[in-house]
Amino acid sequence: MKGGKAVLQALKKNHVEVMFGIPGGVVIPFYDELHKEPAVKHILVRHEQGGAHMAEGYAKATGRVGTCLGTSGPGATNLVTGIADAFMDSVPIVAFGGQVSTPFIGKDAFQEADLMGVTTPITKHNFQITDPNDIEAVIDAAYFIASTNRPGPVYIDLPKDVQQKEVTKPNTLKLKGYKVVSGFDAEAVKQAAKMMLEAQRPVILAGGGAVHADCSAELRQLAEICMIPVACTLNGKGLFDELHPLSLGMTGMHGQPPAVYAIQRCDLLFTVGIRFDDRVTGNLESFAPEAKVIHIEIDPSEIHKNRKAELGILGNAKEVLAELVKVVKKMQWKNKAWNDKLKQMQKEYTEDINIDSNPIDPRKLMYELQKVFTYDTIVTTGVGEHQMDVAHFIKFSKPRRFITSGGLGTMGFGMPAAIGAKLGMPENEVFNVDGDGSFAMTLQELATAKVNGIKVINVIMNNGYLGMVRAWNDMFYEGRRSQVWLGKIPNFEKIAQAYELQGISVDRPSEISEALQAAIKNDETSVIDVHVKADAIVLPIVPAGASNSDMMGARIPRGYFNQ
Amino acid sequence: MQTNNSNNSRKKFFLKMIVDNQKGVMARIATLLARKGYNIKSVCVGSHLEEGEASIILIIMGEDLEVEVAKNTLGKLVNVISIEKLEENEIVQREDILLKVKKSVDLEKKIAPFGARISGHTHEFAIIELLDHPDKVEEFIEFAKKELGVIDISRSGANMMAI
Repeated sequence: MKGGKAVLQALKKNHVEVMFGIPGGVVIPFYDELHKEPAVKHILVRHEQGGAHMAEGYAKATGRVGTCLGTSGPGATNLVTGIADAFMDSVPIVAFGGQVSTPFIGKDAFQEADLMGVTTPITKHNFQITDPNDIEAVIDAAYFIASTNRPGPVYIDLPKDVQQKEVTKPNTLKLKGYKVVSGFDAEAVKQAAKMMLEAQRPVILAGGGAVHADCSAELRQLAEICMIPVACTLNGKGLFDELHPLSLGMTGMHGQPPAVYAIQRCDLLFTVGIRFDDRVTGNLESFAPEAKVIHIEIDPSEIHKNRKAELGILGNAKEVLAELVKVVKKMQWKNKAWNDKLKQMQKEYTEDINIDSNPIDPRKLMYELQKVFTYDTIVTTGVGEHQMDVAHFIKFSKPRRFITSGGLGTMGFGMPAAIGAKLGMPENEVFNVDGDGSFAMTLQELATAKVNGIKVINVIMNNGYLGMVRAWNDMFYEGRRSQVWLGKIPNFEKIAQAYELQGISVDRPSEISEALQAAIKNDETSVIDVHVKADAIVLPIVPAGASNSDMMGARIPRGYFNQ
Repeated sequence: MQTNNSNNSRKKFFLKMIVDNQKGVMARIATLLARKGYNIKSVCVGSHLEEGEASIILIIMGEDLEVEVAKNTLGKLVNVISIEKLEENEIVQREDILLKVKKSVDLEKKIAPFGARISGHTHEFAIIELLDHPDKVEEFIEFAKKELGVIDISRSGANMMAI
């Protein structure tokens, strides 16, 4: 059979249910095979970046590997932002880029680009297939690498002639340098239990890695047995039910002050699947200054990278926590004073965000959204103030429900990610809470949603600005707003209508609820354009480079972090 | 990275990697080293025992934990089969250099105390070779620059083997 067909067979073999792509000159041989036998569902997107984010949204929602494809040259370079985003958030995707026929590689041919060179620093690994007999083995390897250990993107360069030539005798591929992490140090687990028992002020911090490990149940057991409060990072939201009495909520730059306080004052920081990212830690020198750190992690290069751990445990978090639960069951726990203090701080920090002022306060929008979200609603976001509002105000009870671009912070992620998530989880309602700046970057995918009948509810927090940048101009650059006014253009209600979809404009707080209900009842994608007040600032905030103990906010009095 | 000592505890470490010698493997390693900004002093590459495998010796300066993280980061590359971290007291080190100098009458006598020898010559130039511990090689290069008039030099990169 021809190479193109071998690619299709290999995708099927690797349980690819859906792929997101756009055909072009050098990948027509593959698309021809797809036409002859539609072995994999293919969604035609409108920009390859949209396709890459759809693959990410699918992967983040389901835990399975996402798949996207672009033709050579600009098609493949358009995938790069999505690949880099997947690399930063450890999202398992396989991205295929067409390539010019092998004799033309390196000759500056039409639509040629060195994607191997471009993607090397932003992928777990990449392959260029030069022999059709390697197709099956390489694609098997790609899905294997993407989905094991710390997940991540894999890129495959697929030249045109390789798709056209015949497969004669499939080769095998040995991944000599890649081993799946298995097992863990049982003594270290006993040591961890001992450290937890001795701690007076312990805190658990769970991140994106814990979501990949699927260890919700084990972490809950551990927290409940030991009575240790649990905070999360942006990518860890929902792994531990944020409505649970032991939940401190999200920590970090725009986190909950009691969570930030707890970590700054704890004497034991028990971390699962985090990488001590600067948005979480603030200034590293002054992060959790009194704490001994236990770091449960599957990627050996993360342990001690940003913060020396007193105890690093290399292994799969699900397995490590299951063992730890067995060990701690036999111990006596008593953290009452610490827990009571934190509970009191949380109670004092709660605010009523059902604010009816005009123009609409973003917090009112968050209030209305939380009312219509269930445990199974999937929420994606773009990047900016709206994203931090969702992260700060909205509580999630299950993992893989809050899907956002964390590490790379890619504007335009929201809607395509929502489309991918919906395809992976068709029974769940999917909301994209976006900003006017972010939404405009990938809104062409409204066509993809319409033509394929994929329902996503888009709620745009429209303030006419690149809000987060404007906020920083106001807070740290003495109000010098440089190139942040977008002009309140376009009219997103009319944009939706141009795509033959439902568009609703909301200008008053009382209209929000009705608009949301209309979108929920609708069978198709909607766009709700919510005009909010133009100069909101997301508070509280730890300014970039500052210590977490210098978190600023209206309801954070002096001495808050010293109490 | 948070460190516990205030004094400078940077040391010389040796990373020995065995890699799957696929097309582009050196480019991958170079890209990663550049991206992470590691303080690499020297590289030595050659084929290893098994067909299709190569060994790469890197000399890296840093603190113990920092270099441990670097080792684990390089180890994550799919083409890297194994990697170990060694210190000066655990190994034998050698470097090979070739220098081109203007021929002079008592050249051989001058370079003999260093254990260097003449490997080739024309009527005008001589090529000197020295194979020794990198520190001795450095001493010889300083001497040669001062006393012999060095026209060209080519260093092999420091090689090492665990004892």
